[in-house]
Parts: sequence; structure tokens; C-alpha cells
Amino acid sequence: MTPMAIGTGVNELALAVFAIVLAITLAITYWASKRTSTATEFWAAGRGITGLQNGFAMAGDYLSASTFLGFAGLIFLFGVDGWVGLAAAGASFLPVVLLLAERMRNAGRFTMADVLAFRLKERPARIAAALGTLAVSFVYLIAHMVGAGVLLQALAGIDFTLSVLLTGTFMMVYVVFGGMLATTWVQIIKAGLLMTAGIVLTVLVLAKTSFNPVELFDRAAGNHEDAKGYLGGGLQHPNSINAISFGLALLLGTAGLPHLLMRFFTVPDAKAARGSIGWAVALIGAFFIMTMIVGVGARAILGADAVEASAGGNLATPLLAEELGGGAGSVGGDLFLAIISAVAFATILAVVAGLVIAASGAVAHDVWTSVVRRGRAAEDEEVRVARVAALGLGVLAILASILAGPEFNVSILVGLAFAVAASANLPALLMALFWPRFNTTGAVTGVVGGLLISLAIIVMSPPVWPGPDGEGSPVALANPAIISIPAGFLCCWLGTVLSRERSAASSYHELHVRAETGIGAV
Amino acid sequence: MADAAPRAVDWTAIERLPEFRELTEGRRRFAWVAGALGVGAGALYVVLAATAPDLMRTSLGGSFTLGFAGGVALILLTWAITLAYMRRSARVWAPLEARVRERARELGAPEPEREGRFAREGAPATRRAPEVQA
Repeated sequence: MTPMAIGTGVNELALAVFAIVLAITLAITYWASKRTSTATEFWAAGRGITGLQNGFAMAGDYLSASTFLGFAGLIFLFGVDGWVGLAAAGASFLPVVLLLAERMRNAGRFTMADVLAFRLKERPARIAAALGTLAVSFVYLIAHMVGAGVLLQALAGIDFTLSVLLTGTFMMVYVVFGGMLATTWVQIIKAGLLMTAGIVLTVLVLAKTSFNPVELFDRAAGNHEDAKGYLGGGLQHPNSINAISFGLALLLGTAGLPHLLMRFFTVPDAKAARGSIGWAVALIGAFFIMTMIVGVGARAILGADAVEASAGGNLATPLLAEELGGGAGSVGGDLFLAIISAVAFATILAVVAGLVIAASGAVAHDVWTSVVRRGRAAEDEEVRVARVAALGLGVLAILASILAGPEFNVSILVGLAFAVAASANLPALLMALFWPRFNTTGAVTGVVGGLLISLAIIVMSPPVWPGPDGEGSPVALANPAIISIPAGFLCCWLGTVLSRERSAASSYHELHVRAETGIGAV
Repeated sequence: MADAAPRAVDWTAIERLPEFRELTEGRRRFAWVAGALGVGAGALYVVLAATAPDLMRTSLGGSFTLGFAGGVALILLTWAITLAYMRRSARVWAPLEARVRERARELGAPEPEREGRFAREGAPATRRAPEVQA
């Protein structure tokens, strides 16, 4: 292997570490499968997860390869510009802490739609919420499966298509057999692995400058051809509207991510929900700060020579690990690279499993039981449909990811998923919980409007529009958030005030009391 | 919802309880003020980083600039607000919630249901009927 190159042939050591990780997750799935038969067990792990466990699982659900590899890479490439989006994502947990965590737990059962359906007309509200959940989950899912394919191809030498197939298969096995219990423990273990890897990398990076962080930043800036831009911004998004839009998507998207909100239903009560989000915020914030140090460290230690080998920045962290372990070809370097690659793989598996289980809830709990069967489906039927849905969604995601292909930029896809979440899901959820006048028409126009507007802008935007670099795309925005989030709120409001429907204020009182106090919570 | 109480509960009567008002008004005020502060600070950071590179380049010691420090400060602020919310929840709001639940029980509000692991520990017969949405 030449220095600063990864991805020549199959990496046996990486495969061996992958195999260990997979064996552990399969053992968990087998254990969980014996404890998963009812709907509460399938979607909510029997509500027997503790606050601390759920905090780790939320961190495992949220911290994606896009954080560990994508954002570290963006900071490696662009400095401050990369860090702004990640720090904004850190603050994005505040609406979840302050407004959603306990209220979701108190008022919901399995899915985001439960909260909307509580006070609105059940069928339209559930269809709309299911649509929002499916759209966000699917975009996010494809982003991560493409990421998994690119990673495994580069790090272990497995072909892209085979990598996507492998990731998708394991994801389906966890969810179909082990439900939320298996998914939760895969996420907890992954969070532990990821935090450990982050701490080790951070300490090793800081040790390079004798634990003087200022010198680390000095070296990083010295290794960049545009030190001013690296330290002050303007490199990643020459157009400041795009930078603001991307930042807003990350700042507001978290509170609309259905797979994250679903995790609140796995704990026994609101107190544990509060504990979970507290632990999650602590862990995720700490990991973000470590990611900044790793990204800056990659620039300081690897220098500009690694830009090409980092494949758009995504491989900066593994390259750094290889260098810190002793360099390419050394035993330490190979081993550290293999371990970091396996952690990245485990990261992706935990996230996609969480996404599939959220999407299966939308299909089976919201659409099948409540809309198709009009509430007359027995519980074991609902779980059966959920398993079939997870399988079907998994196959669809595999096919879509293979079609999208390795050229698709993973970080951009993640930014788009956040924009859709903040535009379609967040407005309706907040208004259902806090606006007495809100009604079903408002919820449907809000979710559908936010979804269509964000998707329309995405389709017409440079990242997706066909042609080289999306040239000639009708919209110049790389991320729709700056238009689609206000539009989503506006659609909720307009739909409510323009419809002649009687307001759902009477059911608001019940939802209000239940959400605030936990009275009658399941 | 399927778990709507079998008898009619006067939810607005619970809303009128002084304990309920104290709970929701205090908590809501905290949430909106702290939320506006934190999310506002995030939005300000995002906008400044996009429009004022010269400001972001202000050195706070060597190459550690305001651009990097601002993000670290944003995460520290998120931690501080979360911690303040947790502590106030444990000390003020959780006891209030318990008092409201007690008063509400007298007004006919349903008890929290226990399912999942709690049901599994008992006889399987206690498992809830199919969770259908009426």
C-alpha cells in the first residue's frame, strides 16, 4: 500500500473485526427475538428500557456515519464551515428536551402519528403523519445505505452493490426478528464503541501537540492553502444563503426525526424519557466536540496530501486512525484502521435499523391497523404486518440505494432528510401539542405541504438535478430548509384558519392534560 | 384512542386546577424562554458564520478562532439549558405533576396503564387486549 491510500484489495483484518461485530449483534437479535411478540414489545421493547440505556440508544440512533466520517471530513476539508453545521445539530436537541420528550412519552404509544391522531380525525391525521415518517426515513435510509456501500468498498474492499446488500440484510434481520429490543441494544453497543473510538482518537490527536489545542489549530491552518477561509468560513458554501439553509435544516431537523422520537416510547414513563434525553444530549454534545478535534487533527496531522485519498472527506477519520496507529502497512496502523472501520460499519447498522423500525410503525400501526382495517386488526396481525413491512421497506431501500449508486454525496442527502423532517413533521407536531385551534385540515395541509415543497425544491436543486454539477437547475438552493420550514408552518396555519372544520379544541384539553401530567399514559 | 377513559372525564376541570396552572405555566415559560435563547443563539451562529467570515476569524488564541469557539459555546449552552431543565423538573415540576395526578384522580381521571414488561411479569392473561384504535 502506498501512503495515504485505502482500498486496494480486500482488507482481511477489517473483515475479521466486522465479523466479530456482526456476531455480537446476531447474538443480541437471537436473545431479543424470544422476547418480542406483542406490539409493545416489537415497537417499544416492552417499555422496559431505562433512561440511561435509552440515552445511549438515542445517541446510537442519532450519531451516524455522517457525523463520525462525514462531518469530520467536512471539518478536515473546510474547517469552520464544516463545524457550524455540526454545532447547530447539537443545539437542535433543545426543542426535543424542552417541548417534546416528556409530552411524546405521555401522549403517544408507538409512533409520531399517535400524538396527532389523539386530537384530530384519526384516519387523515395518521395517513399524513405516516407519509411524513416514511419520506424522512426513506431519504435518511438511502443516505446511510449509500454511505455503507461506499465505506465498505473503500475500507474492506467489498464491492459497492454487495456492501449495500449486506448492510440491508443485517438491518432487516435485526428488525424482523428482534424488533425494538434488538435495535436498542445494537444502538447501545454501537454508542459505546463510537464514544470509545472518539475518545481514543481525540486523546491521540491532542497528544501530537502535547495537549496544546491551540497549536493543533495552528498546524491545521498552516496545512490549508486558504488558512483564512479555514478559520473564518466561506469555503464549503461560497453562497451564504446555502450555508444558512443547510445550518437551519440541522438546527430544526432533529425534532422531526421519527426514528428518534420513537425511542421515547421504549421507556416506562415521562421521568425516564427526560432522563434519556438528558443523557443523549450529554453524549452527543461531547461526541460533536471530539469530532471537531478529530477533523482539525486530520488536517494538522495528515495535511493537504490526504485530501484526494479522503474521497470527499469521508475517509479522513479512517486515514487519521491509520496514521495514528503507526502509519500505512504497520501492524498498529492496520489494526486501528480495521477497528475504526468496524465502528463506522456498526454505526451505520444501528442507524438504519432504527429507521426501518420507525417506517414499519408508520406502515403497520398507522396505515394498516388504523386506516385499512379501521382499527379492527388484532395485535398479532399488526406485528405480522410490521415484520412484512420491515422486509419490504428494506428491499426497497436496498434497490434504491444501488440505483442511486456510490456517486451520491452522503452528507448532502442527510442534510436533505433533516430539511424534510423540519418542514413536514415538526410544524404539525408542535401545533398539535401547543395550539388549541389546530385541526385536521391544518395537519394534513401542513405535513403534505411541507413535504411537497421541500421535495419539489430538492428535485429542482443542484445536488439532484441531472447533468454535471446540476448545471441549469431551476433552483439554486442546495438545501430547501430556508424556504420549506417556514412554508411548512404556514401550511399548518393556513389549513387550519381557512377550513370550515370545527376546531379540535375539545380534544385538545384531554391531550393537553395527558401530555403535561402523564395521566392515562401507557 | 382506545385508552380513552370509559367514563367521561372533565379535562377542562383538571386544567383549571391551580396546581395544573402552576405546573404548565411555569414549565412553558421556561421552555419558550430557554428554547428561544438556545435556538436563537444557534440561528445567530449559523447566520454569522455564513455572512461574517471576518468576525468568525477573530482569534481567541492563535488559530482557535471565534468560528470554532462559537460552536463549542453553543454546545455548552445546550448542556447548560438541558441541565437546568432537568434539575428544575426533578425539584419543582415532578412533585407538582404528582399533586395534579392525585387531584385529577378525584375528578375521575384514569390511572396510568401498565403494560409491557410490567404485564409480562404477571400472568399472561393480564396482557392487554389487542391495541386497536377505535
